[in-house]
Amino acid sequence: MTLSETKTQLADNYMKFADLVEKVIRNFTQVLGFILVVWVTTMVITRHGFEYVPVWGLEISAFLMVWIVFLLIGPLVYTDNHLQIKVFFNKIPMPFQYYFRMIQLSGIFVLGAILLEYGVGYAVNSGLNSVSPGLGIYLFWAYLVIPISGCLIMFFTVARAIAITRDKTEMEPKEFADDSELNRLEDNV
Amino acid sequence: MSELLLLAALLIFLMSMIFLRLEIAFAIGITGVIWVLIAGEPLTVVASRSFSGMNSFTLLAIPFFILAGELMNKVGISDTLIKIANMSLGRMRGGLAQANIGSSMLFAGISGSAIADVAALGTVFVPRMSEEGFDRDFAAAVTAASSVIGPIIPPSNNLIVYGAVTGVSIGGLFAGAIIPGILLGVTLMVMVYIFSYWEEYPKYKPTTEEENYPKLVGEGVVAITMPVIIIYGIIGGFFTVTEAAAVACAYAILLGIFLQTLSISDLYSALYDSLDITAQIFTMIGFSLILAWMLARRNFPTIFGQFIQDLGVGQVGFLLLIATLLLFIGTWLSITATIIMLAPTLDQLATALGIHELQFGVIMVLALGYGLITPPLGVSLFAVSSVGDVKVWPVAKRVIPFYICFLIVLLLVILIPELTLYLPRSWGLA
Amino acid sequence: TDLIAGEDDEAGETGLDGGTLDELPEISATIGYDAAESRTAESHVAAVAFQEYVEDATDGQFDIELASGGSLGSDSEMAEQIQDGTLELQSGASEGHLGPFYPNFNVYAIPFIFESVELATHVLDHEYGERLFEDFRESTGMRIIGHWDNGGFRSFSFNQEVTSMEDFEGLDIRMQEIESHNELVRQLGANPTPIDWGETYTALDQGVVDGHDNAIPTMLMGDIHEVQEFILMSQHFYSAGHMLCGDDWYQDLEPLYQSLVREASTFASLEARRQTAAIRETGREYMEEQGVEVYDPSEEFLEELRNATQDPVEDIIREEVEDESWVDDLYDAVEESRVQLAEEELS
Ligand code: NA
Ligand code: NA
Repeated sequence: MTLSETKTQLADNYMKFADLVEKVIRNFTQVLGFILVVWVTTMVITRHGFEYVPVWGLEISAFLMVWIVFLLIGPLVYTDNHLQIKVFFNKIPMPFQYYFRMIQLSGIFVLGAILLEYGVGYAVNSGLNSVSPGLGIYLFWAYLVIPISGCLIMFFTVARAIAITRDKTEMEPKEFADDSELNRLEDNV
Repeated sequence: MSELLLLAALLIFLMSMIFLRLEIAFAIGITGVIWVLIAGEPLTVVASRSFSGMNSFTLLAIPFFILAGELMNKVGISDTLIKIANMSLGRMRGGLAQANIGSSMLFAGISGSAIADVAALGTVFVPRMSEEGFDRDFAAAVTAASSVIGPIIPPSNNLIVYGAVTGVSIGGLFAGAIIPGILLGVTLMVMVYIFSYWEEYPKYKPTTEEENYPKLVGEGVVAITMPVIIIYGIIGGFFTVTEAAAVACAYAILLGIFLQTLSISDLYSALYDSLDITAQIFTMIGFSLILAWMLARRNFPTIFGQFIQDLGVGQVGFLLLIATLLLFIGTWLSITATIIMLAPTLDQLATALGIHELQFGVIMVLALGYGLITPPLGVSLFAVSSVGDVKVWPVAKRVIPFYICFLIVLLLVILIPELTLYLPRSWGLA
Repeated sequence: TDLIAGEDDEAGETGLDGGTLDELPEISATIGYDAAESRTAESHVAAVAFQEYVEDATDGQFDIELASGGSLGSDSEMAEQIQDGTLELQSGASEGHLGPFYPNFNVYAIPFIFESVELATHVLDHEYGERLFEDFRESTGMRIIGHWDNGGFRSFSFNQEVTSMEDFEGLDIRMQEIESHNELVRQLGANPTPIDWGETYTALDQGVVDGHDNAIPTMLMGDIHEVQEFILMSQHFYSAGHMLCGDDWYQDLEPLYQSLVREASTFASLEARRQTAAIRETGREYMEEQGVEVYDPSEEFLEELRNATQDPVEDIIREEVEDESWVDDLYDAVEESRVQLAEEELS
């Protein structure tokens, strides 16, 4: 095998792995999200029906949401779903688009690295020094998602870089009529 | 002084990164990191502040209301709302255009966003209206303009984000936004009536099949129950705003099961979309707290406050100034991102001048909302041009009269605090 | 040395007029707190007093910035920042905010243990408080340099009359997410309900819950009197505000600055106490003017409340603290302070 063939194969495997990880995280967060809806509704019902809400009820809901979001930051980089303004960018000539994007992805990668390193520090130093008032667990367990998120951001940023390096059209805007594109814009409201 | 220059430089960097399509969340985060590094503060704040920004029970209302809106679409509630609007408002001059606006107002009561509105209603109304003899650009313009109402009439994701980042009561904001929201709708209807008279647009003639009133009333009751549950549940003390949002989801799911219109895959994709959007919003909120922390640490709230005091423009002057600024920013930036970045500071400045926090919050969300229909980036314009198969600029031209009306509404809301404060006060929310 | 009551010997030695100030570096520190910049908020009053004291004494060479309104984060988050050195000073962290870092602070939550604010501050100003704060410093790296009552005691507010034990039955009461606080309400036959503070005003107004507990000044700050009919002056939990700084930050200061920080925080504490004493009184009057019935329970009713709650809640606290002696010693310290206060009264 030549060097370039090895590189291609490595990249192939990386992308396959990225697809797999993305799918796993999506499914996992879906499950957490479903639990969240059921849980908050249950709290309303138990409060009115049984006059009981556990002391940690609000806290666990907020923690679940934080976990979902931190886990999704990376996959959203991979699928290019974070909110972004492409109108001006699309007017830039092609090779520059690619360079700009690569510089930006490096920036995101560094941010991921910071979340990893300082997230570990935060989880250990602060998280093991205080407990959550409601659940009574070390906040470490809540903060743990920060470094995990940092890892995922770095991982998926590389995957994204590989994707646009292989196929520069990956950067072009998709057809607007596509329903998912509309959904993506939804938060612009 | 050098501190102010640094802030200006960071702001320019932030804006250029956003316009060069760096994900807005990361543009905010990276700018924050750079500031932290320049100021020599420990990078731990990057981790701790972004966690803190997302860790809020009130913010949970956002995924729930998005989910509820998506589910209601899948369950088929939107079709019913359209039918109700057609059968009632449709009989006026320019019937379908009026029904279009009416549907948006009804739709606003279940959905927190404007694009959902355009996507759901635009596909129905633009083709139907042009079939019945309306000018296609006009049909698209009405659809786009009426989408501005959706995020004002509660529930509203923008108001939730506003309440979450400023600590202002979300229930109070919801109550405060009702009259301005209805005002937008009514103004729009009056304008459309005038145009329809002028251009002799037709009334809507229901088919015999549609005139099945018992069935329509039944479906109507089911559809209207959802906003009623939300509003009455909050005002009547059954649950908080966040819980109301969760209950709305549960109601939609039960309805879907009962009407047999909701499949597991519908549920899956609705959940998928709502988590997706929520993650985008929360990421921005999380990273923006790094900037907010640096601002506070460098004592900027005091500096800004002093600056506004020195301007000596008074309450109305300040509101006009800020509204103009927001109309401009709303043209270029996502509403959510703008609220996240500016609301905490602006809210402090406004309350320091003695402006009621609810009035200011509604004004901010209202002014930013107009960006939806302002070219060149107005998202609703793009959305309607794609679902209605029309060009952006001709539609934008037809939107101008509506836009002027909206400006008048904004002016009224600025000049008459009672428009935003009457309902919150009479419901004990302010 | 005693935090407040005793005299500060080190400060006397160094003094500020010794001409040494010129040789010291210009430094700057930030005080973070959750309250708004309002003259009625004791943590703001304390922060301003601290700032003025330090800046006046050093002619601005030791610069103090204020970060109000929770702009740096919530009280617990600011404590984290103190701990990792991101923030220098914090004003107004309550025992509830510090409990997660140091479980022994749960002893504050023994219900009805202090009968007056003077008694509570006396206990914390003297041997027991010193020992507790020193242990807190060793275990968390945060140094408590001042404290005051957080508006006195937590009492219940309701949207209906509650004048007997039976009236508690079945009420939904918004409580902080603290197990011992919840247990107190459970022992009274009511249901503790966790509601985010941001949603509490609305929840009380709309009747999502029937009542909540807080100190009078805190209720005033949250406009609770607008949505409640009745306040039962049960005074069940003592609540304190603390002024903190990072221990590492403090140790790295020049000795002269260190003594200045101690003097300034003592001054700030006294200012905050003066403020809460005033507002405890005027606040109550104001609420009564606004049509809220403020009800003082009879001795018998108080006794009933104490009997129903003190032991079960104490059991929970004994499980939470690292060493049960903190609970036993507190009872002794209270007794001692009671005697000392009575003696002071006589002389
Ligand atoms: Na809405
Ligand atoms: Na419409």
